[in-house]
Amino acid sequence: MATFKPNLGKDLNIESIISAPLVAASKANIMMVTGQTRFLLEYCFSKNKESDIYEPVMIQMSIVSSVVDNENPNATQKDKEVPFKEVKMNFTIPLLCLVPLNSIVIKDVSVDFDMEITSSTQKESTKKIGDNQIIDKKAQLNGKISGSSSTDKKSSTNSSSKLKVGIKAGQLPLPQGVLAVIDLYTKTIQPVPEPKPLSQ
Amino acid sequence: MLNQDQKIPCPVCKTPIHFDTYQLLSGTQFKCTNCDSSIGLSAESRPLVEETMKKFEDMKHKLGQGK
Repeated sequence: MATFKPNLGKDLNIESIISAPLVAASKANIMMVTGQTRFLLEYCFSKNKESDIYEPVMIQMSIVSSVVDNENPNATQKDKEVPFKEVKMNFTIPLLCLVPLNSIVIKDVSVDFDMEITSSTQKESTKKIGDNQIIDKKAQLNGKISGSSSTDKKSSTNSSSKLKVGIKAGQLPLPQGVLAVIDLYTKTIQPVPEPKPLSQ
Repeated sequence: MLNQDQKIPCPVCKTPIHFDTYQLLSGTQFKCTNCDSSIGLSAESRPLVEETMKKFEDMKHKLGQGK
């Protein structure tokens, strides 16, 4: 992986100063999204070897619910209180419902610098489209990022340049595909009574 | 930053039940505000969820280090 090491004391063109933080932010975004997708496919889905289809890994959950106890022999109509009993049931949901997935992305990148223009060059290119000749003139600015220099007691000079990169991250809703899987499976949740232990 | 809005519909009345996976793993049950049913993680699924959450934490840690 290439790393950007700006030499702020040297002349740099303005495009590279602006694009370097943007490229870094874009790479970070890709890294986060790829990591999460890989995790999802590896642990929350199982691949059917025959059909090459990914199926979500299901886990079992339990639910305890109060239901009217019609079988209670002690319940009479004289009792004003309705007899309830607690019933434990099981249901399955996709494992990915339980993973606190996040869709963090870099939403905003700001690049702040003061630049001292040291040179400017002009590039001219000519294109011929049909009978028309198009002349494209581009100016390229080169300069140094201005900063401050200080000399300490040991006579060494420190120079610092000011290039401030601000990043704002935000959360996005989960991808449509993941949401669809969660939605489909959670809509069809059916509690099943817990099997009674076999009597010996 | 995590997805704080974790919820599943109540299997009885379909009201969303908000939960936290780490609390589910510690045995906490979450109640439906509508029908009072409570959901929890089954004992047999706990090891799988525990392992997945550990791997999820590892992934976040690796991403944090730029790996």
